[in-house]
Amino acid sequence: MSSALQEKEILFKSIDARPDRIASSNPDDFLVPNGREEEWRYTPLKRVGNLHNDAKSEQDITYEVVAASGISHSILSRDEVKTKFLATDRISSRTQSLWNKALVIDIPQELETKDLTWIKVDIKSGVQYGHIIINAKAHSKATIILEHVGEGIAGINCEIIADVNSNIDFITIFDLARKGVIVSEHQFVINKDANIRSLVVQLGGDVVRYVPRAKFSGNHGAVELLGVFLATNGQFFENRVFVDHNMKDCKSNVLYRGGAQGEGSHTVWVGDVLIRKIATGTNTYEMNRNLLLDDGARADSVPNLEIETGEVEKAGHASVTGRLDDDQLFYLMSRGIDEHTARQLVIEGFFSGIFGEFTHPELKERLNERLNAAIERSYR
Amino acid sequence: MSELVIKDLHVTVETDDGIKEILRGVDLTITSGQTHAIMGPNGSGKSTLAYAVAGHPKYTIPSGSVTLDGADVLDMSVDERAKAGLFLAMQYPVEIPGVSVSNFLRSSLTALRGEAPKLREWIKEMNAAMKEIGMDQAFSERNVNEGFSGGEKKRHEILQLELMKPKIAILDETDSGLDVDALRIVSEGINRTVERNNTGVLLITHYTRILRYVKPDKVSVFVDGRVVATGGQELAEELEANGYVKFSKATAGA
Repeated sequence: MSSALQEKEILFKSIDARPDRIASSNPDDFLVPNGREEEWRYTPLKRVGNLHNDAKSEQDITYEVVAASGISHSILSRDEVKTKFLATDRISSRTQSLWNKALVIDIPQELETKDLTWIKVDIKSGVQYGHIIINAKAHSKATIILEHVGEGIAGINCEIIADVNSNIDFITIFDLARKGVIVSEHQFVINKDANIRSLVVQLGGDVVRYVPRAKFSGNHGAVELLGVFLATNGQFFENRVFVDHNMKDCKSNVLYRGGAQGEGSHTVWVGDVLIRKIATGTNTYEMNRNLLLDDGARADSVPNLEIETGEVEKAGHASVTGRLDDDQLFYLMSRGIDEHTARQLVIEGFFSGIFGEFTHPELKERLNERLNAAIERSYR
Repeated sequence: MSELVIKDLHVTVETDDGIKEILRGVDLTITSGQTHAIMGPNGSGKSTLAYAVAGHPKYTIPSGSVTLDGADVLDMSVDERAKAGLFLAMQYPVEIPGVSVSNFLRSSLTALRGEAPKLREWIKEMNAAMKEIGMDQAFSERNVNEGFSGGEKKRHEILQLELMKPKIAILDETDSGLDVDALRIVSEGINRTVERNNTGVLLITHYTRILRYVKPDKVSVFVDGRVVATGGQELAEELEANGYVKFSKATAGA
C-alpha cells in the first residue's frame, strides 16, 4: 500500500446515489474535474486559473497577523508542520500538496480573551497556495478573524481544532478585488463540550468557492456555521457545507443568507448534514435563505440531510429563495426614503439576523463597513 | 394652505386576464385642515386610488392628473411624493425584517426634513409621540411591523402620520381590524394631526363606525371606480341605514 492510500479514508456515502467520497492528501486520487461532476457542476472552472488542473505555485503566500495577547503565531515550512489534513476534492488536495508556508495559531490552554486576533491574507497577482492551522487548546476562548483580500489566485485550506470545552468564534472574510479567485476548504474538529461559532462573509472576488466541513472528536460538541454572501456584477460565490455528526449528543446549526444581483451573478449553496448511526441525541438544523435583487441573478440552493439513526433529538433543513419585495421598497419610499437607501435598509436588514450574533464593536463595524461597500458597488 | 387635486384619474392594472381598468375617471379635491371621507363597497377601487396617488409601481395611469399645490405628483418618484408632503397610511403595512422602528423612523425623518434630527431631541420627540398613541417605548427596537398585531400596525401608521406632519394624508381603511378602544386611540391621533398640523385628510373607509370619532367635512360615495355622490355627514348616515345598494344600482343603470 502506498502512503497516499494509507492516508485515504472513505468519508461518507452521500444521498442521491453519489459515489462514496474520499479524502486524501494526494491530488492524483482525484480526477481533473471537467465540470460535469456533481461536486463541480456549478463552479465556472474556466475562471479558476487552472487551480483544478495544473496551476503551479508562483509565490509564497503572505500572512499578516495581529494577535490578541497570549495567542502565539508562527509561519512554518512543510517539514515543521504536523497535520492530518485530508482534502476532499481536487483543488483542496492540490492546495494541500503545493503550499510552502503554513500559518499556525496557538490558543493556549485556559486562555480566555475578548480581544480579536486578525489574520490578513493579501493574495498577490499570480497563483499561490496556503495552509492555516488554528489550535484552540482545552478551556480556551478566543475570536479569530481570517480576512482575504487581493487580486490574485489562491488555494488556501484551514484547520480549526477546538479541544475540550474550548469556545471559538471564527470569522472568515472573502473580500477580494474584482478579478481575485479563491478556493478554500475549512475543516472544523470539535472535541467534547467545545463550541465553534463560525461565520463566513463573501463579498469581493470573481470566484469564491468555500467548502467548510465540520466533525466531532468528542460527545456534546456544538458547531454553528453561519454565512453571508452578496454576489453582484457577475461574481460567482459557492458554499458547500458538510457537517458530519459522528459523535453522540452534538449540536449543529447551519444558517446562510445570500443575495445576488446583476446579469451573470450566481450563488450556490449546497448543505449536507449526515447523522451517523452512532450519533444519537443529535440536534441539527440547516437553512439557506436567498434574496434575488433583480432578474439577471441566479441562486442555487440544495439542502441535504441524511439520517442513519432513529434517535435524533431534532433534525431539520430548509431553503427559501425570494425576490426583493417591491412592497417593502414602496413602504420605505412612501416615507420619503430614496430608492438607494431603501434597498440598502432592506438588504442590511436581511443580513442583520446573522451579523447581529457578533457583538464585538470593532468586528461589527468592520463587517458592516464591508457589507455596505459591497451594496454600494452593486449600483455601479 | 395646500390642495391635492385629482382630475379625471384613470388607473389600470395588469392581471392574468389582461389589462383591467380599476379607476374610471376620479375627480376629488382635498384641502388643508379638511377631512374628506371616501366610502365604498369592497372592490370599488378605493385602495387603488390611495396606492396610485402614492405611486405604487403596480398601477398604470393612462390618463388624468394629480397635482399638489400645482406640482405634478404623477411625475414624481414615490419618495419625492412623500417629500412634497403626501402621506399614505396603509391598510396592510409591510413587514421589514431586520430594520428597527427607530432606525426606520429616523431614516424617514432625515429624508423628509433634509437633515438628521439631533439624537437627544429625536429620542424625546419619538417617545412623546409613541406615548400619545399608546405605544410602548420597547416598540422602537422591534423590527418594522414584524409580529405586530393588527392594532399595533395601525397605531404605528398613525405614529408616522404624527411625526411626518404631511400636508395631505390618505388613510386607507385605517379603521379596519380595530377594536373599539384601538379605533378611539387611532381616531384621536388623526384628529390631533388635523388640528396641530392643519393636515388635509382623505379618509378611506368601508364602515361608518370611524366617522363617530373623526368628523368628516365632506363624504363621497365611491362605486365602481369613480365618485358617484358627494355630500356632508348626512350622506354617511344614509349609507349606514341603507347600504350601497342605491348607488350600485345607479352605476349599473348608467
